[in-house]
Parts: sequence; structure tokens; C-alpha cells
Amino acid sequence: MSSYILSLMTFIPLFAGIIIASLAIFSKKKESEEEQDSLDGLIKWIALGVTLISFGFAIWAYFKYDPTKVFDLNAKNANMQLTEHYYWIRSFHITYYVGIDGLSVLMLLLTGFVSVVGVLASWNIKKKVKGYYALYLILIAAMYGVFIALDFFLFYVFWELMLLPMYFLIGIWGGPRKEYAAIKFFIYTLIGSLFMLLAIIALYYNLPAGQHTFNIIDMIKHADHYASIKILGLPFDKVVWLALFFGFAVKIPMFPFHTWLPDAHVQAPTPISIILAGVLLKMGTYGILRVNYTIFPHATMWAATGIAVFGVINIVYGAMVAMAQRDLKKMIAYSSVSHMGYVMLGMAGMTAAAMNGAVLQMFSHGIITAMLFMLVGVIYERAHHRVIDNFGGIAQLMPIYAAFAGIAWFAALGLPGFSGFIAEALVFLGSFKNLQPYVIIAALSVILTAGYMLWSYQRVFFGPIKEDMAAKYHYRSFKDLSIRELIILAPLAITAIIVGFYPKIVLSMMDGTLSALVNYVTK
Amino acid sequence: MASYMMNYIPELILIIGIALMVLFSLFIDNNDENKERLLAISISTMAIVGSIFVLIMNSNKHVEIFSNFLTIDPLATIFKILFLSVALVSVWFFARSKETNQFALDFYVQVLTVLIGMMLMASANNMLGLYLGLEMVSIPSYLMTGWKRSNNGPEAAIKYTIYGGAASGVMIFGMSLIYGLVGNLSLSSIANYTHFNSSNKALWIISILFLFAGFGYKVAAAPFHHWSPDVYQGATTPVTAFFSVAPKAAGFAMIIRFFYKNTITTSGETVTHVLNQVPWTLLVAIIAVITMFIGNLSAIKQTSLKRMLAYSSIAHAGYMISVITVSSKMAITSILFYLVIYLFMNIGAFIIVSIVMENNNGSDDIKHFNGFGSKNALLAIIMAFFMFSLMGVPPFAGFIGKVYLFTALLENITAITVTLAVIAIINSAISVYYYARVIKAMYLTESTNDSTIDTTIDFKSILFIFAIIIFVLGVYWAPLFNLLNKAVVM
Repeated sequence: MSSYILSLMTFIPLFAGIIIASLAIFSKKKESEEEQDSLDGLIKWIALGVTLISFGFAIWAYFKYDPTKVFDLNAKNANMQLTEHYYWIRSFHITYYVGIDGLSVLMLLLTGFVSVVGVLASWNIKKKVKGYYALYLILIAAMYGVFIALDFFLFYVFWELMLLPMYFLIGIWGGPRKEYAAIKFFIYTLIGSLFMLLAIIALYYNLPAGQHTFNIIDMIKHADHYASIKILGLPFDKVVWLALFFGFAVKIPMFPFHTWLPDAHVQAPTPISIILAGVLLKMGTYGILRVNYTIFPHATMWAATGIAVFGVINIVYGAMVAMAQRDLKKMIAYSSVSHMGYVMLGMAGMTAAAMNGAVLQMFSHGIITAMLFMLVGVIYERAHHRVIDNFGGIAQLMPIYAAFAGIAWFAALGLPGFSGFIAEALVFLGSFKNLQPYVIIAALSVILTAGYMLWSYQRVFFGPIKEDMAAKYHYRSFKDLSIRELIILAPLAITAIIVGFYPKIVLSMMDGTLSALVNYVTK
Repeated sequence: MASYMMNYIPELILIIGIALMVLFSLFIDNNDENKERLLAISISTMAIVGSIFVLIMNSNKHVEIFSNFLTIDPLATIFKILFLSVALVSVWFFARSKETNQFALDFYVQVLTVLIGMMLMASANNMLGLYLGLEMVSIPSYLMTGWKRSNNGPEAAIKYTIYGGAASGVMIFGMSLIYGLVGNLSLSSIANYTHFNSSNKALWIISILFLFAGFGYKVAAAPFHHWSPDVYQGATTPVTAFFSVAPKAAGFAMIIRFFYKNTITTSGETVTHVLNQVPWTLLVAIIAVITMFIGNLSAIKQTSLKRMLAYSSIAHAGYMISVITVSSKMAITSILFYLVIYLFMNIGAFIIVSIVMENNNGSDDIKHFNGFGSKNALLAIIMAFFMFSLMGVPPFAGFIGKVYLFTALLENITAITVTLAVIAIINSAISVYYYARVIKAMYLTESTNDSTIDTTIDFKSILFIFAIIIFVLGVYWAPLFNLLNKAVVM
């Protein structure tokens, strides 16, 4: 069984999702309310069980993973671990090829963790419960799939498979402008990924005759070949690099392709925001590291400064726009744009430390933003609004909630002791060598981050209770965190703190892989 | 001669079917319409099934019959099987849909005639044959469009007739120019034409341009597409479903015959051909680009589902036409592959539209799809499958179809093919918008009335099978692709 860890992790949620979907389609119309409710209640637990099983497999993969075996093209499977390799479509050289390295194992852990949190956060969903969990599980499966795929076609199928459930999850269970947000998300990401598809086909056909393949590892072996050929008089690797980068950049989301994100976040239900910010955005940066960096090391060096420039734009722009928001959720959405900028900056730094910082930031942002969105969801469930200025003095009413919010807010602004600080510090330290001016701007804009985070915290939690608003929205009757909410928030907070104090637990996993990657790209 | 006829058995079976229907109708009591209809349906079904059977038995044959007038080769055979399969589903659909179930025997005679015409188009090795086939498809099609006199059918039929007449007139003029140049109507003679020089280059370009009026009209490519939205909307839904796939496929069969005859060897290389001297790829590329944009942009604002699907089918023709610019084996295979998938997703979508129309007094407005998801979960998810497949997102077959089209375009990169691929991508993204409107109506919008949408078990099972095929081909398509790839030998 241990040799099928990755497949089981991915396909258990997929099949569970399909079975629940069939239940939803073929079940008779409601005969009695109670019968329906008991089945729905059961499905929640099944979804929780399935995500826990997958998370279990992710943890198992974490322990099976051997961090000493790092990326090496001469080794079997380039030292990718837990690999599975089968033919899928022989005539088109498509294989089912999965495996992990230090980068993906971390992303799997994150996906597992956040997906369990997401199910718990969905506990109160009452509308079309079967459909919801069916789509949710398919979404989770697609995310696992992206992080394990080593065949580019397989990767693309998982990448796109995520679109459909996401569209429905935002579109059916979302807020007032859900339809607009859902279609915008769908079209934006689809355009990006279609360019990726063209790039994949171009990569396939531009291998030497007889060696056509979608196998990413084999493509990496032809990196020099790709760098030497031309396409319509332009350097092949740079053109294809840009096409792929565009596909990934939409997902990150990189300025100026970020506009789908605030809409999607604001309209999405809380658990979907958690998944979106927690895992989905990381797929963009993961894809760049997995594909662009490895297949096109030369083009990556050529483009590194460009990545840094856009990273810094993301940081500064995201922070400034976040500061101007009145809606708490929108502010956090823009803070995601800003935080993903650090990942890009770190990736562009081209040193092992910067790369470690970037990937740690991916992980830490996943944890912290999941927490932030959960916290916003908690208050929204009670107040039914999210306007920052209409709150005030919430700390007096909900002290435990305020404490957790404090942890999340301070973790997000990069206070020492939390994972975000380590990540940002590593990014700045590592990138300083190659990207001095950008690091200086980015480091200065930490002040902006602190500004909007602290300012919003102050307006929501401190000060006197605004009596008129309290009467209107019944603040006085708010209950503090429920057990379920505590179960969700506590592990997230603990993870952020543990990684903040002892980052080695994460770094030791990926350091080898990332150092090898940096050496490979910069050589 | 007898051995020639042996290779013509599939068509002969259909001809016998027609003859039998006409004959029997003389002996049947005229007042008993049901009996007559039953007879027509069973004879057409048997003829089609028999024809498919004979074709499958002889699928590896490669002969030229009737003094090289017709080519019987695996490619033609695959196309014929495709037409016949569409017709088989359509006959069931004609018989079962409330819109068309009162059509009498003579209607089925038209259907079989169209089939013979399409098979001629797929086989013809001679421009006269292509033209005859085209007309043999067109004239019964005009009749089928206006068969039901109550709705907009007759008006659409007149439009169709006028467009068709003009297009085939222009086409035959182009053919006569080529005859003047070559001195022969056979496609092989055109391929072997050696007197190409700068003085007759202009004439060649003009004649191919004129020919394309006929080709473009048949596949509903811009700027010859104007008939199609009106015809699709005016004709009864089963007829529209039939038109949206079969004649279009026949048009592609004709285009492939004309442009690729003797240009591609068994091993897939291109050889010298007079057409390679003429810049027809640029012409085709321009037509493809216009077709894609017109189809997709016009579909966005349609509220009538049939009209929207008409424009969407224009757009899909555009994707396939763009691949025509690449003279490769992969190009032909990818078009064939796409046509097969297109058959299932498009006919499937039309069947659902007809079900919704039956439950809403014959209106195909998109608002009747509101709340479909909660009214009938099974039919709605099947429709969603078709829409996602038409969009081209995995794991549905439409995605694989598009992947192969792009693959054909990017196999040997030139400025034209890259441009076409990028434009096809932009268009795919545009198309998402209007297909998603259907999804949105079904799942995101609540219904304003509490009418139900339901249908009989045969509709459900056929749709279910179509949906399964769309899904299975999206996950494992190797057998189909290999089958088609093997057939593409010129």
C-alpha cells in the first residue's frame, strides 16, 4: 500500500466526491425532511473522514519522504520519491506519472491540513449539502493531483479539473454577486491555462524526433535542447516560458491579472475562501517552480528580475489597496495579493535562503490566511456584515475570538514568533544579494502591512462599542467562539507559532530540494 | 461491373430502402398514418443499420469505382459511418420528439436521400461528384427545414434555398474555371497538374476562392454562415440536431478530399501539389479566424438556445477549419476525432433543448433552464456535461478534441498556425461565457415557475449513454483515436 500513497491520497476524495454526486443526482425527491437531513448529516462526516484519510496519507508521505535524496537528473526518476508510473495514452505518450520532492510534500501537507479545516468550516452549510460536499471533495482531489503530477498532461488535467467545482462552489453557495465572481474566476483562469496548454503542446513537439513525451523529468533532461532552438525566429525557451508563466501568474494572482481574486474571495463562502487562499494560490507559484524553473533554467535567469519587479508591485500595490478597503474580507483578499508578492520576490532571489523563504511563505501564508478568512467568517456569521467601521469594541464582547484574531493578525503582519516572520526574513536576507533595490522597497512596505493590519484590528476590536451599530446588528447577543470554531482555529494558530519558533520542522524537508533547484538554475 | 457494384452496396441499401418506402406507401391505407410512419421508421432504421454493417465489414477496402469517379477508402468509410450513426440517432429522435413525430413516410425518404448525398460527398473523386453530392444533400435539406408549416420553418427554408442556390452557383463557376485550366474534373488530374505558372496563378486563386463559397456554405463558415442561425432556429429541433452535425461533417469530408487528395502519402508526408503553389492556407486561415469570432461573439447575446447552439456550431466549424491549413495526417485525424466527439455533445445538447421545449410550450428561451438543476438533477447534470465538453475543459471529451486540434496546429509551427492557435484559445475563452450562461441558469438561478421538466425513459437512457461517452472519451480516448488515425490513409 505504501507504494500507492500518492494515488490513494488523490483518488479517495475523487471517488468519494463522485459517489456523493451520484447520490445527489439519483436520490428521490425529498420524501421527508428528517430522512434527508440525517443523510446530509452523514455526508458531512463522510467528507470529514475522507479529508482526514487524505491528510493522513499526506502525513505518511511526509514521514516516508527522504530529504537527503535531492533533485538529481542522473538518478532514477531524478530522485523524485514515492513515484508511480503507468501508461495512460500510449500513442500520445501520456503517462500517469506521480511523485514528490521536498517542495510538493510540503504542499501536500498544506492541502491536507487546509482541506480538513475547510470541511469543519463548512459544517453549517444547509443548502444542497450533497452537491456541496461532492464538489468540495473533487476540488480537494484536483489540488492533490496538481501537487503530485509529474506528467505535464496529467498536471494540466488536474489543474483544469479544479475549475469546475470552484465555479459551482462560488456560484451556488456564494454571496450576492456570486454569479459575476464565479464566471470571472472561471474565464480568467481558463485563459491563463489555455496558454499553458499551447505551451505544453509546443514542448511536446519540439523534442527531438522519437523522444516526444509529456514527462516533466524527461523534458528537464532536454533543457539545453529547448534553450537552443528557435520558434518563428524567437528563442523557443523564452516564448514558452512566458506562456507558461502567464498561466501560472493568473493563479498567483500576479498584478495585473489579480482582479478576479477580490471578487472571488468576497463572494465565496468562508470555507471556499479558505481553500482558495490557503491552497489554490500556491498552485501558481508551485507550477512556476516545478516547471518554469526546471525546464527553462536559462529563461528563468533571464526573467528573474522581471519576477522580482512584479513581486514587489504585488507587495506594495496589494498592501496599499488593502489599506483602503472598508470590507474586512476584501482587505484580507488584497493582503493575499501582497503576501504572494513575497513568494515571487523570494523565488527571484536565486539563493537557497530566498527560495526557502519563498516556499515557507507559501506554507505559512496558507495557514495564516486560512485562519484570517475563518475569523472573518465567524464574525460574518454573527453580524451578517463585514464593514470594518461598523464594528468596534468586539474584544469586550468576544474575548477569545479577539485573542485568536490577534494571533492571526500579528502573524499576518510578520511579527517575530510566527511563521510569516521567518518566511519574510528569509526572503529578504536571501534576495538581498541579487535584488537589493527590490528588497529595500519590499522591506519598507512591511510598514504598510503593519499599518493596515493594525489599523483594521484596532477599528474592529478596540475602542468603545458603537451603540447604534450594536443595536442594529445585535452585537450584545454575540456568543464567543464555539467548540467547532475553536477546533478549527487552534491547530492553525499552533502551527503558525510552532513553525515560527522552530521553522526547521518545515525547512529541513525542503531545504535540500530547493538548494539543488537553485544550484541547477543558476549553474 | 458487378464487382464495382459490390463496393457500392452501402449506398444501394439506402436506395433500396427509399424504393421500398415509396412502393409500400402505395399499398398502405392512406388513412392509417401511424402504420405508414412505423413502416418508414423501421425501413430507414434497417437500411441505416444494414449500411453501417456492410461498411464496417469492408472498412479496409481501398478501391476506385465507376471509372475513378468514386474512391472507397477507409477515410470515406469512417465518414460514412459517422453520417449513418448521426442519422440513426436522428431517426429515433424524429420518431420520438413531439415536434416531429407526426412527420409521415415521405420525410424519411428525404433523410435517406440526404444520407446518400453525404456519402457521395465523402467518396467523390471528381468535382462533378462533389457537386452532385452537395446538391443531393441541399435540396432535401431545404424541404426538411420547412417540413412543419406552423413555426418559422418555411421562412427559414426559403432563406436556406436562396443561400444554397447562390453558394452552389458560385461554386460550380469555380469548378468550371478549374475545368478550363486542367481540362478534366477528376481530383487526381488537378493534383497532377503541371502547367502552373505566374500567368494562371490569379485564375487558380479565384477559382479556389469560388470553390470555397460552396465548402463554406456547407460547413457554415463565415462569411457564408448567414443561413445557419435562421435555419437552426426555424427547423424543428431534431432536424436542427441532424443538420448541426451530419452535413457539416460531409462538408469537411469534401474539403479534406479536395485539398488533401494526393497531397499526403501513407507515411504522412506532403508531396507537391498544384494547390501547394496557391496561397490557399492564408485564405483558409482568414476564413477560420472570421468564423471563430463571428460564431462566438454572436452566440454571446442569444437568448434562444437553438440560435445560440447554431452560432456555437459556427464557432466549432471555425476551430476545425483552422486545422485545414495544416496539411498533415494529424490534421485530418484531429478533425475526424473532433467531429465524432462533436456528434455526441451537440446532438445531446439539442435533445435536451427539445425536452425543455416540450415542457415549456415549444419555447427555447434560456429562461426555461432556470432552476433546471433542482427540477431534474439527472438531465441537468447531463446538459452540464455537454456544455463543459463544448467549452473544452477536462475531463470531458471536448477538451481532448481541442487538444488534438491544437496539436495538429502546433506540430509544425509557422506564423499562421501559431496565430490560429492563439486566436482559437481566445475564442475558447469567449465561448465559456455563453455556455456558462446555460450552466448558470440551470444551477445558479432559481426558477420563477414550478413547472417540471421530465421525459421518457428512452430519452433518458440515450442521453445518459451520450454523457458517459463524453466522459469516457475525456479520460481514455486511445482506442477511438487509433481507429481514426489508422483510417487516415489517402
